[in-house]
Amino acid sequence: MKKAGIAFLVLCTAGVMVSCDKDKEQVDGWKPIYSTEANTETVEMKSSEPLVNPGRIYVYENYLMVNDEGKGIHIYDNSNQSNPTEVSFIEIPGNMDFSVRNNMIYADNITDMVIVDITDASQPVFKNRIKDIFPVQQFPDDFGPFECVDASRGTVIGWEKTKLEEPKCFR
Amino acid sequence: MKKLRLIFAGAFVLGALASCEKEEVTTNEEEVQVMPTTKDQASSGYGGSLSQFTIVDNYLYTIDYRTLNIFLLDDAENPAMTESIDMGVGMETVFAENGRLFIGANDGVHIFDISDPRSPQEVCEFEHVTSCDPVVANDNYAFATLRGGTECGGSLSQLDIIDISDLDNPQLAGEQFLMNPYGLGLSNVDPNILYVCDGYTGLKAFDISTTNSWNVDMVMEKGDIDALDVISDADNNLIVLTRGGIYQYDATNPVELVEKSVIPVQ
Repeated sequence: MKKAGIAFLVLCTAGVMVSCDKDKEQVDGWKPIYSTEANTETVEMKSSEPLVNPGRIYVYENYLMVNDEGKGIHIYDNSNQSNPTEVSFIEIPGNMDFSVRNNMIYADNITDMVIVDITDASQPVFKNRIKDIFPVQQFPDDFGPFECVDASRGTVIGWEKTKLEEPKCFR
Repeated sequence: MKKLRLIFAGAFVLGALASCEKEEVTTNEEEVQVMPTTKDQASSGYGGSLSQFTIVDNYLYTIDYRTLNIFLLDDAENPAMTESIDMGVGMETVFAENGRLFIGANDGVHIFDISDPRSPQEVCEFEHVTSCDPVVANDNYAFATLRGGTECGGSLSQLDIIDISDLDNPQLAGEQFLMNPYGLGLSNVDPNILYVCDGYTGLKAFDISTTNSWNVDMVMEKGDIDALDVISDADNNLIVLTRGGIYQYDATNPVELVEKSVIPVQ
């Protein structure tokens, strides 16, 4: 009985110690967002989507285009700058940047480039994919600690802020 | 070095000669002469200073943490990569101006000549401390923001004004203390106004006509937005990317902005 009591006490103490350690070691950092092969190549056209994490702004003719980090591209009709209205959202997994020439969007889709025709901006049309031309960035944009990439969990399509315990990767 | 430059000049003359000869050959075919007109009719857009993609004429330039890639867009649906340059350094932003590419990298500003658009040649690098640094430029000056702090590796946060009138010898011409800088952009309305997005401290405007003094004068400070990037558009329209959404202002008076609309982050 006494033995069990001591064992219990030891366990408790150990538990407390572990949780203390946990609090101590937690730091702000980044962890990878993984996507599986199955859906990284799906480029979908939608009429509109809420703006979540705008990363890039772009002006093309009367359109204001905004990249939503890791998600895709919002197209707003900006002919009335006092009232821009979203005409379409192009969902492109992992998208961070793009450029437009002659009604063609050139955008990154993780390691690929995708080409989307916006001759009718409210009805974008997927045109082509050039495979494997961009390297996969195995670390976040910001410097500091991050959770190491585990390739077996899929392709990295973005990074999110998190609390890390004893991070092993730093930038 | 001098020898090298001489060789370069020699090569340049040869190059010019070569292209002259080419032109003579094509003068008979008048249809070929129409080409530049179709090129002019092509329209491309423009992004803010944080862009990693930029189009100049019929070429797309992209940068990432490792490489500068060049794509020919003549076949619009089938871009063809003409070159991929391993820079060996993390790159953040690319900005094209006056036949040059200005690349903001972790170790400084790299300037490339793109007179041969397929094959950019690095003409100079202005090194600075490790930081995040978008860059914009006019003919004589490049303006780069350096964001320090744990996120970016350095400790300084400032605006660097770099005299690039002699590309062989870029010189630091001025500095301005900043708090949390991100993108920046020259005003379309007044070429002497430079907008700087200073993160949580807001959007600031500086008078860059005073570049002969070491510091530039701040002529506007808009502290109610968390500013990240800016485009000074046609129609005196100023577009500002913030953490709270996309703001548009009437910038007829570039230092008295009048809000027109907000696309809020949800």
